[in-house]
Amino acid sequence: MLKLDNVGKSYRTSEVETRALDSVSLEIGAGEFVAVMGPSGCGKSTLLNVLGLLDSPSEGDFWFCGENVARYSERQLTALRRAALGFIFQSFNLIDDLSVAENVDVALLYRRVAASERKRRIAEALERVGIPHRAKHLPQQLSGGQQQRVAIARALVANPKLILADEPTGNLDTANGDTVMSLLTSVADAGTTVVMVTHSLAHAAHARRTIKLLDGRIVSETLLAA
Amino acid sequence: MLRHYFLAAVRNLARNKLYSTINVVGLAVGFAAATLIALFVRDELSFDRQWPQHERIHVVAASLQLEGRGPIESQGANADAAVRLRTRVPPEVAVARLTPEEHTVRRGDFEANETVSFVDPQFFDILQMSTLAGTLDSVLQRPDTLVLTASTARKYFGRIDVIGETLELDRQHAMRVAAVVADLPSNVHLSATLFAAGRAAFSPLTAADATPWPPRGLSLNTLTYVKLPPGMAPERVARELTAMSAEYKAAVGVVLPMKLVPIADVHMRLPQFSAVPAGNATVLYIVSVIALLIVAIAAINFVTLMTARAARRATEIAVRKTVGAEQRDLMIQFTGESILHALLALIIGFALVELLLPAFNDFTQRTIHLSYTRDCAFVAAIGLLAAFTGGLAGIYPSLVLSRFRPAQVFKGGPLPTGGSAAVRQTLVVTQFAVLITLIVAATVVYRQVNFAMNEGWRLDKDQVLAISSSCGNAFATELRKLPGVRAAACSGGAPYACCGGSGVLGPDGTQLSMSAVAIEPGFFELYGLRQPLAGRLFSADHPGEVGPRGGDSRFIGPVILNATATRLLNFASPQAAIGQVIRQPPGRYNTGVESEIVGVVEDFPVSSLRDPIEPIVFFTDAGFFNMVSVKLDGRQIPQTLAAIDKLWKQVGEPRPINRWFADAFLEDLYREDLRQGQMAAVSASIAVFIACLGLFGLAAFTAERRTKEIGVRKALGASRSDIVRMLLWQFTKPVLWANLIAWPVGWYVMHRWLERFAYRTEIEPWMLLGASALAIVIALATVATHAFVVARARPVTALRYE
Repeated sequence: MLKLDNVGKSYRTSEVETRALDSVSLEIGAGEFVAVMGPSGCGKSTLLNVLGLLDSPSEGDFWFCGENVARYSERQLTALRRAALGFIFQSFNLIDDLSVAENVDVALLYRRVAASERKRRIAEALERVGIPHRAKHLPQQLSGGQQQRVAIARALVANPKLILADEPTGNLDTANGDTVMSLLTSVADAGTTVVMVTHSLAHAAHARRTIKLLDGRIVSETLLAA
Repeated sequence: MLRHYFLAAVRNLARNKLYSTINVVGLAVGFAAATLIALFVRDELSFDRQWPQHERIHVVAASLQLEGRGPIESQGANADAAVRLRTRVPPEVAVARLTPEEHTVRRGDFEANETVSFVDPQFFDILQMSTLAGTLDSVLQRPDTLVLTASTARKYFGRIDVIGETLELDRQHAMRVAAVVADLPSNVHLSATLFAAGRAAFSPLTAADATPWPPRGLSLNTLTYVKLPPGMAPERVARELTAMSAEYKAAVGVVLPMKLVPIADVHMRLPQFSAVPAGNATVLYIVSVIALLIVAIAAINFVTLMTARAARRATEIAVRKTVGAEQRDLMIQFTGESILHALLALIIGFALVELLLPAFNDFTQRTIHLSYTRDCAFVAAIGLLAAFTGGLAGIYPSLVLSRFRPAQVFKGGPLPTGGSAAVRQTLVVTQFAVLITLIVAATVVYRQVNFAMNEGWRLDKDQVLAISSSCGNAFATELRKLPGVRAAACSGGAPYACCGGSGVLGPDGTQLSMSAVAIEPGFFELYGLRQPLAGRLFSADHPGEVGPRGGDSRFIGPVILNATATRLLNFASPQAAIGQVIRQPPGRYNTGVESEIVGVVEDFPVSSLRDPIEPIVFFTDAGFFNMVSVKLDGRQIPQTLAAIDKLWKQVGEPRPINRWFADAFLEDLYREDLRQGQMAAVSASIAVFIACLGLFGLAAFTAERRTKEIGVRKALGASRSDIVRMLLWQFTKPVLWANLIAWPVGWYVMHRWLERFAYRTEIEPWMLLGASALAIVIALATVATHAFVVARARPVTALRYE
């Protein structure tokens, strides 16, 4: 489903060039649950941004569902993101002014889904993450764990082919972290591809494959036995 | 989708109370000011459009062209023009006149001085007014009939059903009320309250009709209305007027071009005739620009605060983009949010308009109404302006915000604000440039009006009372004996509002025009002018300088000239004029007498300072007196006035006393200028208020954004005053930059404004510096609170903020 071929990503300021990804080649199949690990600054988030079509590679090719998207325009990337991707962030990134249901709704809004259909799918997504009773609350009225579950519901509601999770348990205590991991595992089990950046070995163990990065390069890949 | 955007906008508005309030209140005040100004402009442009078939009604406007002077424009024409015109045009063309004249009106014991409008019977066929009692059909055909406005009927009778009741004019002419009409609205060129039959024996129209052709003199004091039949081009009548002008030239020797002006254009195109000030297109342009500037200042607040607070919404934008929002979607959202702010502000703005309209009407002397049902086109236009302003103000922030890249936002790096800080600075500079310009404008207008009413006038006007009187009885004599009266002198017009033109012959025999004023010895001294430039002033010691001369001439006997008159007559100096004679052309106005020049006085304005000082010849014929100036000693003024009123009743003329103070008259003369000055000051205050709101918001935002930086600075040893200085300097810079725009623009605009005055003050550097200093003080006072609060915070608190 995803194929990176010698992908590099550099950031330039006027004087300094920072190389965040260096000749990364990687293939991820449909329905895989992949964990990405590595020390701070190794390029994990950059890799996730490239995979999530939030950033384009400086060099190399990126095949997404059979299409080379490395040179896609912002508009094409947006269309693809809208159609196929869901995101979960460490800091939840919920919109403070919107209620739980409305936050989830944002993922459907730009897909021009009919109102009645959106309502049904929001209810379903909130049910799936276990917080249907919080639909009308504002994010700041929820605990961290609950907020992350809203973020997962938002990522799931549009039935994306790929979910990218950037340290989804980083701001959570152990119990809430475990709940989130169970949810992600069940999502992957249901056939959605999940790529997750994490610092936690325990949480990485939920994934079928773990990729380790160092200085922008893949230094190891571990495949968990089925 | 729209519902979602609406909800998001409403919640954002509710959550960010300070910034929302600043935006909405600023815009609301801006819209209120703009709406009031728009109402005023609409009112100015709506003059005389309410008359039925107004597009067929015209006014004959004559302009008098005299040697040695510029053309004197008028709304009026000579009274015989209508009569002569009627004989030249088809009978379907209706022609009617109105001549105003001062008369006393009495009912029982109640008597007052009124301006009576004498009109031809066809007058009400042309200007159709709504009747409240009686009928206007064939009204005023009888010479003893009156038509009252409702307020005049109430003034004399306490009610409006007064048909058949009688009022007495000049205590001798009994006039019967034939109809009562509604009061004239404020947006007509007339200010008439009492119409009398022009056929009355004592009417100036009857007198004019009885005068044989050619007329002995010209008086452009008659409004002549022409109503064309459907389909007739005005040029048909205009041609006749041109021919009539030629007849005047041939018979009277005066160049008197006459034109046909559509009644709806009279207010803006012709000078003031009755008490209604003439319109001024330049003023309309200026106030319209001011209204737009005020709205622009409020819109700038929106742009600066939205872009300043962009980082606050970065996460929301990034999330939306991540889930597939396109730039267009976000632009629609943020522009819509801006329009929502604007529409909310509009509602509050309209509420403010409702509150302020009565005071605004008092200020402008108008009866402006805003009806949301009848004026729906106007309300819709203001609504569209609001939506357009909101949309325009929202475009730039939405462009900046929608360009955020999610990856960068999530990484926490610097946001690509697309130069919005520079744009923000530019906008703040623009705001301050506008308000410094307005402060300069207000200062210059006030200074000029002050100059016009004080030193520009040159004569002493303090405690000078003027009383309308022919001085032909014991009143003027007895007046001088009253306690509290220092001096009294009769004259044919006040030195600040005179005078009839008179012809004199120049050295080469050409006829020149001068103003001629009859005065009594002691007149100049009463107005503080004790020394002539040359020769002497009139004196009671010279027997030939007291009392009436009679005869046909305007001036017989010795005369005094002003300095301008000596220059017109080509005298080398004031001294050179003494002992010389001036000659009046023999014939129509006089018998060709020569008058000796006994004195020359310095120039002083005899009307508005807008007009150049005229050449004036002063003479002493008591037959021309129509007022007495009284210098009071300034002590116990109410008692002195009461004594004067009592004396008037005892030995004065058989009518109520008509008196006024010279300074009050001058205030009236410059009321429009004063009003313009006040308008500039109020506009500047509104602009200052809105700009300060924006600055306050920006300071709050800066204080919030720089908390960490300030913490670090304090941790490294910066004192509280260092921090305050740093923050205050940040907000002083845009004001200093603003001067670069405001000074030249303010100087140029006000220089052009001052050019309307023949005698004017200068724009001095202190006015520009003062305006800038005031702007800086206002800016600093606005941001000081935030600066002090932030500077006082302990470094640990500031650092913990992150």
